[in-house]
Amino acid sequence: MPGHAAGIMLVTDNLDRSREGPADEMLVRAKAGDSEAFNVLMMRHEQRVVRLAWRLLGSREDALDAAQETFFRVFRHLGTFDERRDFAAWLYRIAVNVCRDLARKRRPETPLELVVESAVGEAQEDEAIEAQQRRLLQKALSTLTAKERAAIVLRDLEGIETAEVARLLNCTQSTIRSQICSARMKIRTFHENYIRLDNEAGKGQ
Amino acid sequence: MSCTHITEIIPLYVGNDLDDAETERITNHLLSCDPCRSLESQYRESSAWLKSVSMSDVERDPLPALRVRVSQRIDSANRSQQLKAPIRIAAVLATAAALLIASTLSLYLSASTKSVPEIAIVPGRVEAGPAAEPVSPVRRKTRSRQRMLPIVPSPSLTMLPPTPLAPGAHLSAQLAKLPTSPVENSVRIEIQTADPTIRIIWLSSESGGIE
Repeated sequence: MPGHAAGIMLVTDNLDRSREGPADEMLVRAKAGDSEAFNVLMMRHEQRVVRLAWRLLGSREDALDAAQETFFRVFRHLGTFDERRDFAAWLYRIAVNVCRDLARKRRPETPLELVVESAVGEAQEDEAIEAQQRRLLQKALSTLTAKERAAIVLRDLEGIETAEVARLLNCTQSTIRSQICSARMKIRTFHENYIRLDNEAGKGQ
Repeated sequence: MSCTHITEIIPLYVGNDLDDAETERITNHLLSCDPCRSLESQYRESSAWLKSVSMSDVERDPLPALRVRVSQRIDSANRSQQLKAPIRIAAVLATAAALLIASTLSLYLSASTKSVPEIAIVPGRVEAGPAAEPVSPVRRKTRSRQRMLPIVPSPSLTMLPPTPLAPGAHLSAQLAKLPTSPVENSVRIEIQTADPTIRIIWLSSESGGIE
């Protein structure tokens, strides 16, 4: 499956980047209290953290809150972090924990209203199309429970191996497989309904 | 392998989440089962669709506002730490002072209470003998430290061993058997201190027997 393999390679590349020389130097300086160096570390990882948080939480505002909390926790514990370890993996783990904590505090999600976007089929600017895609993604993910969502985001969208997902979410691999299986079934159902409604809307026009 | 079982685990098959043996069994089954092959195709399409729409949510622009928020929060945390530091120092000093005062007080109290000897009244034989040498204060080691017992003002003291009491005997009867004082109408009171070698004898010239 080429698409799936590419996703995994992308994540691996991101993780390995932190082991390069400049990143290590920034990490050492940030540990020593250099605020500029910590700023550089944030710039390197902020987009990925916000993207992960957005996928897990479903709202950009919540994602920014989660990212802020993540980097604050990193700053607080940076002094005890061993710079020989993988900083990106450590940061990622913190982000997942922060998102899990925030998701617990959120109210239960409202039932999904499957609405076919009226803009489908019309000529759109790139930003509008992307905005539409983001809405679709969030609608699909909102059909899942919080645990299913976390499992499928980490496994299918972030490309992390099942064993590592189990460690991040603090449960067994068999539990993760069960949640991923259930999540993929629901995504398939959502996709089938979306295609059906899209076809009906196309026929109606 | 039944189609029912395949239906349940095909979501894991398309994500490459099964072991090699089970993957091979499903692959062989799909070669000859159209409905299961159709189901597998649907799962692959939905998985690819999910990945394609997720590419649009990638944050491409830097997030300076996020960095500002983080910096502000760090500064706020540092300020509150600096405010708390003098309060913590004052609390530590106050605790140390209180402990010092408490330990000094307890030492003082223990020293003053141990200077009073234990006193018990026991019957014993007394003789008013010749003027004895004044009893000098006895130095006695108590728990690795020496202390001075108080000097008992008395004209004379004779150290005598106590006379054992008969079982059940009343104290007054026992005392009545003791030799009388050479001084008539006198009252004699003996006090045995905690030190078995020292007994306090009080002689009074008032009349009246001991009740």
